[in-house]
Amino acid sequence: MKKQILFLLLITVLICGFTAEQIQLFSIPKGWPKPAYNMRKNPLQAANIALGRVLFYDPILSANQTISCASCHSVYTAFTHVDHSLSHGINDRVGKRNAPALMNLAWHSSFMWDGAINHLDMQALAPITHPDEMGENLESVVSKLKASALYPSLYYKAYGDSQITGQRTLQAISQFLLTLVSAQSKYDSVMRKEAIFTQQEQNGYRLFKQHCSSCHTEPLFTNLQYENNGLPVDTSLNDYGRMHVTLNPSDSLRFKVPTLRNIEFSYPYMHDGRFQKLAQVLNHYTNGIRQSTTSVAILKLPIVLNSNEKVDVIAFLLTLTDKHFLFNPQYTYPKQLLSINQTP
Amino acid sequence: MRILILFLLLGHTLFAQLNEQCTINVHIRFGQSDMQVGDTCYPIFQTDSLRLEAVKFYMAGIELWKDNKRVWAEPNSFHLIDATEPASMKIKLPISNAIQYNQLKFSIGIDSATNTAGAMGGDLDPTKGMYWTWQSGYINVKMEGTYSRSTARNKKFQFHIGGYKYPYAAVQPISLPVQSNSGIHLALNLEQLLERLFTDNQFEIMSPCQEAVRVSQQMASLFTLMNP
Ligand code: HEC
Ligand code: HEC
Repeated sequence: MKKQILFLLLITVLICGFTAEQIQLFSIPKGWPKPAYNMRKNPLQAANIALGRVLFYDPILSANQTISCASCHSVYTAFTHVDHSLSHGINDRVGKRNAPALMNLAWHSSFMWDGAINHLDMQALAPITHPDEMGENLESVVSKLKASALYPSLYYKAYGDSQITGQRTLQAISQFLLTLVSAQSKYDSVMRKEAIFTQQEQNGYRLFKQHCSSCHTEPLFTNLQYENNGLPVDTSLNDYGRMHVTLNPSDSLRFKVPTLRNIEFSYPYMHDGRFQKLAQVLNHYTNGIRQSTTSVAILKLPIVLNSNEKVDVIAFLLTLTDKHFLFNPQYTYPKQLLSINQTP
Repeated sequence: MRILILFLLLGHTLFAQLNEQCTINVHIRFGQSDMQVGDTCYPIFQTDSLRLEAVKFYMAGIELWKDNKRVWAEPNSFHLIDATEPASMKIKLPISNAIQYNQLKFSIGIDSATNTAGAMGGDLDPTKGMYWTWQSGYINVKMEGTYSRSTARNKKFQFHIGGYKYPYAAVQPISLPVQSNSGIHLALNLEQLLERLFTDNQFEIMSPCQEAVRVSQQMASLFTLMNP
C-alpha cells in the first residue's frame, strides 16, 4: 500500500514537473485560441528548442553552406528578409516571393502565401530543397549533420541518443519556431488594461475594426484564411496564389492573410514585397483595389479614409510592435555555432 | 505478486504463438517476367523497349479478414516497398497460429490523417525521398525509367503519384482473397499500366491531379496473387 502511494506521488511529481516546464517554454497568451500545433506529439523541451535554434542559424542546411534560415528570416525584422522584396537564396538567386515574418506559428495550420505546406514540421523541407533557396536535400543534410563535430551531442541532449533522422531534424526546427510568440506589444498591454492608447491610436483602432479586422482578425491579426485583397497581378510573376495549390479557379488571387504584428519592421509588404511603406498599403486599400471574380464583399465598396484617418490607422498599427519579441535574446544567433567558428 | 505471475504466464503464451508465420512477398512483374531496376531492357508494344530506374511505393494499413470480419490489423502499418531493396519486398506479419483468415486488405499510399500529422519516422521519414517538398504530401508511388519513344528529356518517364485531398486523393484500398497458413505472393504487373500511359503520351506526372488519381486506380487493379 505504502509503495503504491509512493508510486502515485512520483507520477504526480513527474507530471507536474513536466507541465511546469511546458508552461515556461510556451504559454498561450490570455484570451488567445488553442494552438493548432499538436505539442503532445512533439513535446517542447529546452534541449530540443536549443537544437532547433542552432539548425535555424546554421548554413549547413544549404548545399554550399552559405544560406541559413536566418539569412532570409532575420530576428531583428520579425524574421523576414529585410530590404528584399523577393527573397535571395543560394548563389544569390532571387525567389518568386517575399519572405513572410515568422511569429505565432503555433496557431497556423497551413503555411506559405499559398498554403502549400500543411504542417509546421514540413515547412523547412521547402527552402532546404528549393533550387533558388538552399538547393539541398534532407538526406544529404542528415549525412552532413551526422558527420559534424557539433550535432551528434546536440541530438543526444535532445533525444537521449545521438541518432540523427529527418523526423528529429524537422521536429527540432519546429520546436524553435513554436517559441516565436509575439504577444507583448503596446496593443496587448492596452487589452490587458495595463496601458492606454493615445487618442490617435484609439481612433485608428476603431477604423481598423471597421475596415480591416474581418481578415486581420485579433488577437493574431490574421484570420488564417486565404483571401483576395485586390492587388493587381504583377505580370512579370503571374502569381495566382492559392489556386496553384488547389487547382481551383475560385482560389485565384487568394493569398494567406499575413499577421500585422510587428508590421513596422516587416517591410517590404505583400507576397511580392511591392510596397515599402504602410502609407502605400493604405493607399492601396482606399484607391487601388482591383475587382475580380474572387473579390470579397467587404472590399467591393471602396474603403474611404481621409489622410488624417490613414495616419491614425498607421499609428494604431505601430502599437503592434513588440520589442520583447524583436530583442528577445532567446531568438538570436546561438553560442554553439560561435564555438565552431562560423560567421553568422 | 500474483499479478506478476499472471503477466509472466500471459507473456509466455503470447510468445509461443507469435512465430512470424505469414510473410507477404511482393513481386514487381512485367508481362511474363520479374522486373528489375537496372540495365535490363523490357520489350513493350513489340517494337519498343523500356528500362526501369526506380519503383517504390507505400503499402499501408495491412489487415487480415475472415468472412468479412477483421481478425488482425498491423499497428502503425507503413511499408516502403523499394524494388532495389529485396528486404523491403518481404513483409513479415507477426500473427498467431490461431488466427484464421481468407482475405488480405491494405492500401497503396498514405492516408490523409498521416499526411497532415507532421514529421514522421521509420519508412515515413522524409529522407526516404517519398515526400514532396514544395507542396506537403507523401508520394505514394514512384516509377521512373527510360522508354525508347518517350518525348520527354533524355527519353525519360517519371511518375510521382500522390495526393490526399479531394478531388485528387490517390490512396487506393485493395482487397484480395488469400489462404491461411501459407506465404502470400503479391504481384504487381506494370505492363498494362505503362502501355496505357505511353499510349496516352504521358511520360511525366509530378503532382496531385486527375491523371494521378487515374494511375492510382489502375495500379490498384493490377495487384494479383501468384504462385511463385
Ligand atoms: C532564400 C530565402 C529563404 C530561406 C533560406 C528560408 N526561407 Fe522561409 N520563407 C521564404 C519565403 C520567400 C517564404 C514564402 C514563400 C511562399 O509563400 O511561397 C517563406 C516562408 C516560410 C514560412 C511560412 C510562414 C507562414 O506564415 O506561412 C516559414 C515557417 C519559414 N519560411 C521558415 C523557414 C525555415 C525554418 C527555414 C530554414 C530551414 C527557412 N524558412 C529558410 C524565404 C526563405
Ligand atoms: C479581404 C481581406 C482583407 C482586408 C479587409 C484587409 N486585408 Fe490587409 N491583407 C489581406 C491579404 C490577403 C494580404 C496579403 C496579400 C498579398 O500579399 O497578396 C494583406 C496584406 C496586408 C498588409 C501587408 C502585410 C505584410 O506583412 O506584407 C498590410 C500592412 C495590410 N494588409 C493592412 C490592412 C489594413 C490596414 C486593412 C484595412 C484598411 C486591411 N489590410 C484590410 C487581406 C485583407
